[in-house]
Amino acid sequence: MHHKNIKRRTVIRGAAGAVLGLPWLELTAGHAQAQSVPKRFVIYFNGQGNLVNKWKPNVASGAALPANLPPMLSALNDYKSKLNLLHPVDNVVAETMGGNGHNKAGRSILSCAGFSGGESSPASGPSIDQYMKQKLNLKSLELKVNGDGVGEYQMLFSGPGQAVSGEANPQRVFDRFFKSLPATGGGTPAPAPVVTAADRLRAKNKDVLSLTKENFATLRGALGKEDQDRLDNHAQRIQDLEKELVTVTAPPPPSLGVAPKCSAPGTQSAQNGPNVYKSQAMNAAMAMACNFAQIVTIQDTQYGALPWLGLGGKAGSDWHGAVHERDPMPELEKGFAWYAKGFKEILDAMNAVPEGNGTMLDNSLVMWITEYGDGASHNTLGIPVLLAGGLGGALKTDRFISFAPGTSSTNRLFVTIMKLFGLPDNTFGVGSRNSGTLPGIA
Amino acid sequence: MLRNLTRSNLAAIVVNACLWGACTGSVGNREGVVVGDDKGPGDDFATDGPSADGPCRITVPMRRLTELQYKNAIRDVFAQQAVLPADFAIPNLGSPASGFSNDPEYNAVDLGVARRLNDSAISLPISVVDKLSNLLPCASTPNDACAQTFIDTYGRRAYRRPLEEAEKATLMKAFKLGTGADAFKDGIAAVVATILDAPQFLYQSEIGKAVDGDATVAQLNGYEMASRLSLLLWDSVPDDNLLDAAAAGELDSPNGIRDQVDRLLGDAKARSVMIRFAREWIHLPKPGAGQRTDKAYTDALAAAMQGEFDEFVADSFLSKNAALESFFASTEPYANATLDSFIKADGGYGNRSGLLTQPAVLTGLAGASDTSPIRRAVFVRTKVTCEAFPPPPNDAMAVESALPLPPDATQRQRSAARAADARCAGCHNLIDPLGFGFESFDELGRFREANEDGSALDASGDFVDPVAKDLAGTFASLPELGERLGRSPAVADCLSRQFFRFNYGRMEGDEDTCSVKGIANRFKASGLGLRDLIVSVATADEFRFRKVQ
Repeated sequence: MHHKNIKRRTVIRGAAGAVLGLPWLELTAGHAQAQSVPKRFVIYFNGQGNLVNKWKPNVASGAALPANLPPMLSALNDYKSKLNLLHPVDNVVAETMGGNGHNKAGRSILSCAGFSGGESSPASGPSIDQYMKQKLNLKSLELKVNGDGVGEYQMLFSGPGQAVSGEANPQRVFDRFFKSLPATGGGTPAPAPVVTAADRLRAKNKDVLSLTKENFATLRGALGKEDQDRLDNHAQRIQDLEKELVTVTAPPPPSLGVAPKCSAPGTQSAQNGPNVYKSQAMNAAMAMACNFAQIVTIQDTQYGALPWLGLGGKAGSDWHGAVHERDPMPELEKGFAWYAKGFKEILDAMNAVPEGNGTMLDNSLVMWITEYGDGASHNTLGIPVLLAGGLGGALKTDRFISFAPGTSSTNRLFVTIMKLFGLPDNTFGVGSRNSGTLPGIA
Repeated sequence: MLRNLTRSNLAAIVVNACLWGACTGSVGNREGVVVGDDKGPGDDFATDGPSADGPCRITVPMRRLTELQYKNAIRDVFAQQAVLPADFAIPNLGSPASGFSNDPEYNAVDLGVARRLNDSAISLPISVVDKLSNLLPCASTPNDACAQTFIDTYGRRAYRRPLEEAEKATLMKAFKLGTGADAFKDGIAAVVATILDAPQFLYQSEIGKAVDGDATVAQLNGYEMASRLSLLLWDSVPDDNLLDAAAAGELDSPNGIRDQVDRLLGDAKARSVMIRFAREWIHLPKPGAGQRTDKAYTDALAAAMQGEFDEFVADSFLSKNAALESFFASTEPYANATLDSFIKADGGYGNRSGLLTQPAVLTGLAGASDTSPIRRAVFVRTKVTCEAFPPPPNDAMAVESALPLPPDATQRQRSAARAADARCAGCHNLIDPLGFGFESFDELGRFREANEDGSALDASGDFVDPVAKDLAGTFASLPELGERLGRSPAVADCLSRQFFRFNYGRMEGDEDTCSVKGIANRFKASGLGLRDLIVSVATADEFRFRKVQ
């Protein structure tokens, strides 16, 4: 097993002398010199829950997973040895929020926080991905699959009241990161194209952003305090963009002496349906291989239908309504089983990237979480959660772990994950179960 | 298991208590929401000047152009020469609390939004310089003076005012980024990029001028007023005529503003704005976006439904200055051939009148595969009469899915089960009977006389215990409810309130009551013409001022 060779460094001294959690692994790969790869955290979310009774394995807590995973997960049989299945995980905060069943679930699922204002307002605290990004000083990539979604599914927040958007178009992600890189498979880089007016303008983006900051400064003086704050927030995003430009025009060398090459993933034409999963999964895996991001969220925002499945009955046109009414059940089974196939694209893309003696997946934590424990009643308790990858051996795999009723929470799940990444936090978010870890995982 | 049961029983008791406090009786959360008509039409808040209660002044934060305003601004600043990609969109950040897409909080800027705006800024200018000879006659003599002409002309349109010297200097620096063989065009492209990234373009920011004797407010200058008017009435930037009026000081007087409001409302751009108001007010899905189980809902039918709604709304609010009453009772046909045959296939027009019986509205307020008496009733109570309803309790769906119901229960059977359960009855006794008045129209807005199971359909409804008592009582059909709504002062008040939200993109607070009342009073004094309502919003005295933060 590759993780025998892995030594986990937990803390370093930061530049300012503070003790920082360090999300890096040191891989000592036989004769090769020591290499560092970052620990990555990937979150995949789908709406409407799952069919828990066909998702949960019929084994004792702590036991190995059955060779044939339950029907809703059968697409993942090949990955059995790299999985942890957790149930039930309660989103208890949502139960206190009231209002639209999707707004409360979406806002709280990753933030464990209530609304910052009215019933459709952003959460009153950061989502776990953004929080860990800030605490660990990492870079993040926010992706969506199957559309830009409905407002109810806004679930990423950089702080109280601060919503974070995602990119639904894989081509835009590709263009942002990989346009100038050689193609995967060692192919020759695209021939130097004729330089057009558009290229010349794009090359001036840094200068344009610099002048833009001048414009911000000119406008700012006469404004009132609140408007200045609003403007300063935007100016900060301009600075973030400038940093991003530097990163993307000058990609770091491949993170490892061994493969992977930091290279451009394949074609990006798909906008919707199953193929968009593959495109976004490849974008995500290669962005992580190139060290453009260490935290990635991939959010499925499909709500109305899953047309590529050709489901019958109400599920064919009104997926949300069919889930509500548990009808027709055989079609719901097909639909929810398909999400495991979509999720598998992410595992495949990460597992195809060799790292050390294993793969990027082995060195990462990939969490699959969903909106509900029971989609029909939009119940946010009893959510099924899947963790893939072993964080370079820090996390045992091939286990089903269950929790006593009324004891688990998404807060505790996220505290557990933060500890795996070396963060000292004992609490996350709000609510009656916002402190401590979930037993039996780490 | 035992613990779970105990917890949910406790929760049910708490929910039950909340519901009784929230929805039953004629007092409680539902009251105090309707504006009321305590002073009579026109008694105060005249268009011009403060009332005896003191001037009405409200807070207006800086706000980013919406996606639609951004698109329209690009179109209008560059005289329809610039080309935005067809799929241009600004990333979605949740939903606007007010329901209206110009909500300042909804249009916040995260990194993804900033990136998309910058992507647009750095790619769109090429389409402008490709058409430069159309936009800049002096481009045949490409020199600094001509660049300055470009900056003065298009900068003024984009920033909606003449540029300050510092702003001109910044754009001239951008021009100087162009070097080499195509220095002039490349420089102009960099100017356009810098304009499109500028907060002066992206935000409606206002400073105003001091008001004698009152340091807490500022009066908008002419250019700021021009921006407010054009963004309210056109969802776009001012045209040169409006900017010239600002320069001439014409927007410093109510009469000058009134003249421009009349001119702006006569333009086709105002029709799109009224349509946006109505779509967002009812929360209609984007045309064609909602999938429906019934295959009769083709793209052509969806477009026909939307077309009828759009033309009816735009005509009612603008060209016809339709009375509020006719908005809810008009029988004038707007259906195209597709929709006409759809309607005639099921009972024709005899059962229809006004907004509520339009297929676009009935479909928009239904589920994907079934009607929704609840959504339809809640729309009337919260959006047409502005009652506040508490959100459903957390376990509402769990409770409902456990109610004793036969498979394929009809809407009436479901409602009866809710009425028999004390946890549901508090609110649903106010909702369901009103919603049943819509049941003679199915989820695509087709008229029907039988339920899905073939049993005779009872099309009557009951507006139970409304805050506005003139709305109370049973009605035999949806047109009868429409007539009642159209005559109710509470509906006039509520629509005025919706226009306040639409104008400022936010829910009203206590300090805004005077503005909402003023809009309503002028609307009523004018005789309840819908065009007069939007005029009342745009010519409000307080619309010329802002509170100083």
